[in-house]
Amino acid sequence: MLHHWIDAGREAQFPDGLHPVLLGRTRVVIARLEGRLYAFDALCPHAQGPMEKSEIEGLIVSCPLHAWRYDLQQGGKELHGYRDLATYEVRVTDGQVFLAIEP
Amino acid sequence: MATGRAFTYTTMFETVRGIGSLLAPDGFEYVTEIPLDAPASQLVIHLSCMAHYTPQIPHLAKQILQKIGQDCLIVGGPENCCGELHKHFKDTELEKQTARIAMFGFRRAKPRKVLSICPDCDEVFGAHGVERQPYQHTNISELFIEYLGELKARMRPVKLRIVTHFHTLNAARQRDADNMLTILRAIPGLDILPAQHALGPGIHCQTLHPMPQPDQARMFIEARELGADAIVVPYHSCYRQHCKMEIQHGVTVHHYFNILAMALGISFSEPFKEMRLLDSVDAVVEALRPRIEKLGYDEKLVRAQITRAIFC
Repeated sequence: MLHHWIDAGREAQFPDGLHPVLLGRTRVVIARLEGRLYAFDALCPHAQGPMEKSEIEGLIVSCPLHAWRYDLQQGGKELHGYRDLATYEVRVTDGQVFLAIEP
Repeated sequence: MATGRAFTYTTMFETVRGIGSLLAPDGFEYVTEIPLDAPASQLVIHLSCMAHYTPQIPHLAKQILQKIGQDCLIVGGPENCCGELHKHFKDTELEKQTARIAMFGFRRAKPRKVLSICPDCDEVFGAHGVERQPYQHTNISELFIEYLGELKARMRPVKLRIVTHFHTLNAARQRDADNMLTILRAIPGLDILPAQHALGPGIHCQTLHPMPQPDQARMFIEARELGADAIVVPYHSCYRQHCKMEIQHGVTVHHYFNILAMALGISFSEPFKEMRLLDSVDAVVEALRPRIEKLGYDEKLVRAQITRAIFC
C-alpha cells in the first residue's frame, strides 16, 4: 500500500501521554506510551469520541465515552470484538516524527 | 489520561459489561447498536448502565409488555449511556456528547416511545433536549398506566402485604411514585400498608444520595412492625441498596415489576439479590464460577467488579 510519510513534528513535542495533532485534514493522536510513539485516529470508530481523552492502561487506550478499548500492540484491535481503531505507522528520523498516512 | 479518580470510565463500563453478562438471565437479549436499516420498533426500552446489574428488571419490562401484545426492542450496554457517569465526573462536554449519541441512536428504530427505567437517565436526557426528539421519552410506568386496563384484565391475585418505598424530590419522581402506586393498587389481593417512613432521599437511592442507614433501618423496622411481607421499590438503584436488608430484617425487597410479574404469571429470578444475599464476595465468585469460566473472564478482575457492583 502506498503511504505518504507526513511530517508530524519534532520528537520532543511528544512526551509521555496523548497529543492531538492535525495533519492536513486528518486529525490523529500521537501517543508516547511505555517509551514508544504510536499514532491513531483522533475519533473513536464507534461514535466519534475524542480519543485524545482516552484512558490508558499500558498499551490499551479506551474511549472516554463508552470505553471501547483498543490495543495498540495489536494494531488498534477492539478488545470486545467491536470495530477496530485505525492506527498509523510511525517513523522517527533525526528527531523528526513521520506518520504513514494513506493519500 | 490520568484522571486522579478512584474509578475510571473504563473500570465503570467494564464492570457494567462484566457483571451484566454474568447475571443476565437466560433468554435476555438487547442490542448495543441499532442497525441503520433496522425495522421500525414502536417501543424501545432503554437499558441504562447500572440496570445491567439487575437484568431481571428490563427483562420483566419486556415480558410484561409482551403479555399485552406490545413488542419492544431493548437497547443497552455502555454504548447507550445517558451521560450520567460523565456528569458525575463533571466532564460536561463528554456528558453532552454521550447523551446525544444515545438519544440520536434511538431514532434508528423509529420508535413511538423510548421507555426509561432509570431516573438518572430521565434527568440527563431531559437536560439535553430529549423533548425535541421525534419520539416520546418517558418512564415506563407511564406506558403501564396507559395499558392498565389490559394489564388488569390479565392479573391474578398476589397475596402479599407490602410497604411502598418512593421518591418525591421533583415532579417526575412524584409521578413515578404515583404511577407505581396506581399499578400496585390494581393488583388484586395486594395489601398496601400505610407506612410513614418509606420516603427516599434524592431522585433515587444508591448512587448519589443513598438512603441514610438510620432512615433505611427505620423503614425496615416499620415495615416489619406493620407485618409487611415486602418493601416494594420503584427503581433498580433502590432495589440494589435495600435488598441486602432482607438478611437483617426478614422483609423481602421487590422491584414493583416483580409484583406485576407475579400478578401476570411471569416467573423470574433475581440474580443480583441472590448474589447480594450470599453476603460474601468469595461465595459470589463460587456461585458464578461456571459462567465466569464459560465466558473466559479473569477471576481477579471479576472479583473486583463484584465488589464494586454488588457490595458497594
